[in-house]
Amino acid sequence: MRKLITRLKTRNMKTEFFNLKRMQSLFRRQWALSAKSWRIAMIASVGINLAISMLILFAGSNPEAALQSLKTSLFITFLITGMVFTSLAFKELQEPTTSVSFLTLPASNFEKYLTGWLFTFPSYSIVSYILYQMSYLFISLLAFAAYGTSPALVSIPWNELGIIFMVLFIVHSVFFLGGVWFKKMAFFKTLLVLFVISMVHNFWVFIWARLLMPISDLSEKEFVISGVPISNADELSHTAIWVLKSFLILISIMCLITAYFKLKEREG
Amino acid sequence: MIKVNELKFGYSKKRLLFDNLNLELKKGHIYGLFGVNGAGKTTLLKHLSGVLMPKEGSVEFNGQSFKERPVSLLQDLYVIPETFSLPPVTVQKFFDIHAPFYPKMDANKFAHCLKEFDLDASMKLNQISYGQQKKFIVAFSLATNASLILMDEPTNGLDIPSKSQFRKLLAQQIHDDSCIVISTHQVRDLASLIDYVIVLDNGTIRFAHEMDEISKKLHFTVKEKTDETVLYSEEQFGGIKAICSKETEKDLETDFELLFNAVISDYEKINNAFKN
Repeated sequence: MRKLITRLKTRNMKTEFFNLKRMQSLFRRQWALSAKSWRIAMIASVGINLAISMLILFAGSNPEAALQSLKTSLFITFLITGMVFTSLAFKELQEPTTSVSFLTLPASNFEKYLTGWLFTFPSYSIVSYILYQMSYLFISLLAFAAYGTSPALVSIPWNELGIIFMVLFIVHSVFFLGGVWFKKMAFFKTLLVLFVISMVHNFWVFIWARLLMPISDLSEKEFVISGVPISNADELSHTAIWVLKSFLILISIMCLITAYFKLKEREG
Repeated sequence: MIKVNELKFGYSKKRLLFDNLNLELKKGHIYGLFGVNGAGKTTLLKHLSGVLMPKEGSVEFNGQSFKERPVSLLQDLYVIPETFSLPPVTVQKFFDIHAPFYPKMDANKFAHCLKEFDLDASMKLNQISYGQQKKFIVAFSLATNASLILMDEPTNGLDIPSKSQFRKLLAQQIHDDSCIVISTHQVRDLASLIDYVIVLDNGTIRFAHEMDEISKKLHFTVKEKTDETVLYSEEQFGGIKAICSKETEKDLETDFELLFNAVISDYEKINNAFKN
């Protein structure tokens, strides 16, 4: 009997913490509430970038420049839009007119957190990747019609795709934490914090460099990491790159964990 | 149903709004929570819904604490805040995306409430008036069949016909397993609905009595002048409106506004009438 009660209690606790059906409802709700802003942002991002690329394509008669420009600008646009979306992941909690409804919505902290993450990272990445490829294909088809160049999709090697994914993951986790942490203007506040942190970091490194190497002009000296000069960073050892990557991923995971507990604290 | 034990809470560390507040709300009642602006009505509702957590003491709903805000409790609770904003979706869409969260949700009841309030399922929530939004959210809250429904100033923004529709609907839909708490400073609007009166002043409950008890112990009347039976009076044209401790020749219906003013001016005198 006691075993049964314990099992029931454990089951109840599990259901309280995570329930797939509730999670689906939460995801559906999130989509219904933000579909319009997604649509507007995506149409604006793609539209502006396509217009610029078409201008370069036809005014400059340079299909390769147009495709190259689209590739870079669309990536940056989606990155920035993604940061803004991520900062707004918990907008309902930040607004006084919606916070009570959000807090009393029957779903656990974890489910609300996971929905926010799934919505702003995997879902956003997939949607923006599809739009990215479609936009590129559209311009390349126009280039094919006008100049006879062969139409194609953007080909990204797996290792580069991995690096892009890692960059997105790191950037996303920082802005996700900012979205939970700041009550108003989370996007700008997160940017400001990142700027301040980078300034403090640079200043710290500069001070230590001055203390360790008391030389008059640092720029004339060659700094070395693992026996490789910094100016020749391509030759940094695999271990050094691995350590750097691991450190950044660790920081991102810590941001995500902190975001969960901060959300829990804000909800509590 | 809901029990507040020794609740201590304050927005600043120096000044406590609630200092050892105790309250018990039972099933089958519509509670009227009255108080002047800043008395702590909204803060108390936030505690009753687990939106705010006590600094000390506890708030229990069906024997379970609101700490960690358990989903099972939230499924049985609906809060209508004083100010809210609704998403840019239709009435039907809102229902479709929120109904799955409430296990006791009744779609027929929702349709009935919409009809009573002259609302249409195809209306877009961000394009209707504030009064219509309020009616919609009341309809949704009743359709959830939640055991505890908390309403903060629900009649604000409603026109006179809507207020009577609201009273009618609430009276129809209340059932023995539910408890509704209505916080308001417009005491007259809900006089016919409420069967338990709670008056909050400066974070303290000054008065908490059932309507039956009130009508037995307090007698509302109009007199020419005051006498020893008058507990509280207000001047009016040609005499006084009074609350008396003894039955009078011309006993009138409970005047909530008079009762509220009486409690705010001298709660001890009014409460003493209930001790006999």
